Amino acid sequence: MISSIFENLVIAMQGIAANRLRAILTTLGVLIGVASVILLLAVGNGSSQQIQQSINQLGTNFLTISPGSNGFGALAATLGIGGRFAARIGTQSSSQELTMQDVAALENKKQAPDIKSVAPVVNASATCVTGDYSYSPSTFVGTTPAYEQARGYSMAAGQFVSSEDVTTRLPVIDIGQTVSAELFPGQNPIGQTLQCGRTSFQVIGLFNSKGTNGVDNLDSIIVAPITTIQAELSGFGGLSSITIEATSSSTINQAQAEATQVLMQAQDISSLANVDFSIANQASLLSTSTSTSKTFTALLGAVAAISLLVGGIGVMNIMLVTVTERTREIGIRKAVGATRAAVMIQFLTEAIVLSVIGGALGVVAALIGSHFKIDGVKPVIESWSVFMAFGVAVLIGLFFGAYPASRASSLNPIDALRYE
Amino acid sequence: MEVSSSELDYKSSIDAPQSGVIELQNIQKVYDTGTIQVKALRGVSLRVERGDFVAIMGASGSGKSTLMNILGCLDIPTKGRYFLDGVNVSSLSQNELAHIRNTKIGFVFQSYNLVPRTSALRNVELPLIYGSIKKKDRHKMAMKSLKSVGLGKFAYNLPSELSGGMQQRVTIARAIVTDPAMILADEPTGALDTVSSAMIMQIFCKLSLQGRTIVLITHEPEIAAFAKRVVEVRDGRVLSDRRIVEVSSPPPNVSPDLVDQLSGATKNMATSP
Repeated sequence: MISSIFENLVIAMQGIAANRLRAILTTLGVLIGVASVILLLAVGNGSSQQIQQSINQLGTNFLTISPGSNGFGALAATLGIGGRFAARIGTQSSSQELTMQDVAALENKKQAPDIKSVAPVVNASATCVTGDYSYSPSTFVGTTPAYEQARGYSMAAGQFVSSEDVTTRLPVIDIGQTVSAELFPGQNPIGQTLQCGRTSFQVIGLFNSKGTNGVDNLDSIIVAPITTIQAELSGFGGLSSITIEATSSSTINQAQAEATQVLMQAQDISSLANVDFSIANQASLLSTSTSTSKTFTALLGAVAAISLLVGGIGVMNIMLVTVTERTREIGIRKAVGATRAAVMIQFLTEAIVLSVIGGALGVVAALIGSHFKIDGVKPVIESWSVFMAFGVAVLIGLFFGAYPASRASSLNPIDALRYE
Repeated sequence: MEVSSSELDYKSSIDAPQSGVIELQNIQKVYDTGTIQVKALRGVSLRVERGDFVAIMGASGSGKSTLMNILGCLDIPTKGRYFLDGVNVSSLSQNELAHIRNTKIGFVFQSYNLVPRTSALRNVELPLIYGSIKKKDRHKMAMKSLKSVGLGKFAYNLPSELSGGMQQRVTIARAIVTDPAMILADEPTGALDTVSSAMIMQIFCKLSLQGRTIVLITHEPEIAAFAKRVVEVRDGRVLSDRRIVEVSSPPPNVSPDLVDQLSGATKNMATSP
C-alpha cells in the first residue's frame, strides 16, 4: 500500500505523461463540458439580468394602456416593440378607441390622485431620408412632453418636444442614437432636417443611449409632437396607447385601479368583463420575464450537463483502453508487491487527475469566454456554477474511473505478466 | 494487519523448517476448467537451503511454470504447504501474498518486465515504494543496487534507451534491492544474445557468491550448468534432483575475470547499443 498521496500523484502523472495526445483529448472532453456548463448558465443568467435591467430602464413606475381587451397590445407597447406591430394589434382587436378625451379624464387629479402625468401615444411608420441616407426607425411615435419622463428618456443634446410644439403642430423631432448614427454619421444632428414620408422635420433633440431591452433597440426611435404625427402621418384616428406615470413606484397599483375606473366611466362600461382596453404594468412584466428566463437557463444548463456527461464517458473510455494497454505494467507492479488497493488507487488517481485538469482548464476557459458577448448577451458567471461544474467534473473522474480501476486491480498477476 | 499476522505465523509455526529458505511439502495444483480438471503439479516436495543456487529444468507442460508461480507467491497451491523464509504462505490472502512478494522475493523475468517510460532508478525503486520506504532511503538503496550491477551511470535512462542485457541488469537490481530471501529468475537469458547471456549468468554467480539464495527456471542445460543444484520436473513431479557442488562452494563455471570486468563492459555496451 502506498502511504503517501504525493507518491500516488507522481505515478499517476507518469501514466498520463506516457500518452500525452490521448490525455489532452480526454481532458478536452471534460474541459468543454465544464466550460459549457459554466458559460451557458452564465448566458442564461446574463440574459435574464439584461431583460430585468431593460424593463427597469423603460421607466420604473409607468403603466401602458392599449385599446382592446387583448393584453398583448399593452405588453408590446410597454416593451416598446415597433410601432407598426403595436398599432396593428391595437386597432385590429379594438372596437372602442382610446381618445384624447380619455387622456383628459385620466389627467383629472380628483379622480386619479396617484397618476402624475399622462402621455398619449400615436404610432407611425415612415422611412426617413436625408441626403444619401435613408432609415426606418423601429419606433416612430407622436406624443406629448410627459412621455420623456414616463419612459425614462434623457437628452444628450437639444430639448424634448414642448407643449408649444404640440399645440402649434411644429414639424420637429427628437431622435435616438441609432437614428443619428444611421442618418447623420459623424455630424451633429441638431438643427438638421429630415424627410419622413411627405413631411420635412427639423431635429431638435438627441436622446442618450438606452441600449436594448432584449427585444428591440431602444435607440432606434423618433419622437414628434402628437398633433404633427396625426396631421401628417397617421391621421386623426384613435390613440395607439396611453402612457401613464404614477406618482411613485409604490402607488403604481392604485394608479392602475384609478385608471381602470376612469376609463370605464369615460367609455360607459359598467362591468370589468366588458372592459375594452388593457393595462400592463411593470410587476407583471417582470414576473413573466423572470420565469421565462429561468426556464431558458435550466434548458441551457441541461444541454451543457449532457456534454459534461459525454466528457466523463470519454474519461472512462480512455481509462479502459489504458488498463488494457498497460496490463503488463499492472502485472509487474503486482509481482513486486503492489496490492489490489494500490493498483486501484493508481488508476483512480489517473482518472481524477485527468478530470481535475480538464475541470480546471474548463473553469479558465469559461472565465475567458465570459468576457465576450454571446449572441448579444454578456454572460454573468455565478460563483456557485463554477464550484458545481468543477465538483461534478471531479466526481465524474471518480465515478467513471472506478470501473476501469477496479478492473485493473482485479487482474491476476500471472495473466497480466504473460499478456502480450 | 497483514504484516503482523505473517510475523505471527513466522514465530508460532512449529512446522517451520530450521534452515531451509524454501520448504515445499507435497505441493499439488489442480486447475479446474469447469469440465475437466488439469493436474499441473502432482505432489512436489522440495527444500532449498539458504545460499543455494538451484536450477529448475523442464520442458513446456512439465509443470515448471506452475511451480514457479507458486514459488513466486503469484499463485497458491491446491494442496500441500509452502514455507518461505519460515512463513507458511500456502494459505495467505491476496494482499498478504503481495506483501510477501514485496519483501521476500526478487523477480527476474524473461522479457525484462520493466515499467516503460520510467527511469531505471524508478523501476528499481518500485518495490520500495510499495514497501513504503521513505524517499531518501529509497533513492540510496536503489542507487546502490544499480551500481552493484554496473549501471550507476544509467540510473536516469529510460528502459527504451538501454540494451536488452542492460534492461535485464536493471531487473536484477530491482530484484535485489529489497534484500529478499530468494531471487526467482524465470528464463532470465531467454531473450538475450550469447554475450549478454554470459554476463547475466556471471551476475547471478556473483550474487550466489554473496550468499544469496537463487532459484533459476530454465529449459537450457547451458544456463542450468551455472547452478549448484539441478532439479528436473516432468509431468508435475520431480524427476531428478542432482547436486553439482555443495551449498557453501562457489557456483561452477564462475568466471572471476568477467565479474571483475563488469564495469568495463558497461562502457562498451553503452557506446554500441
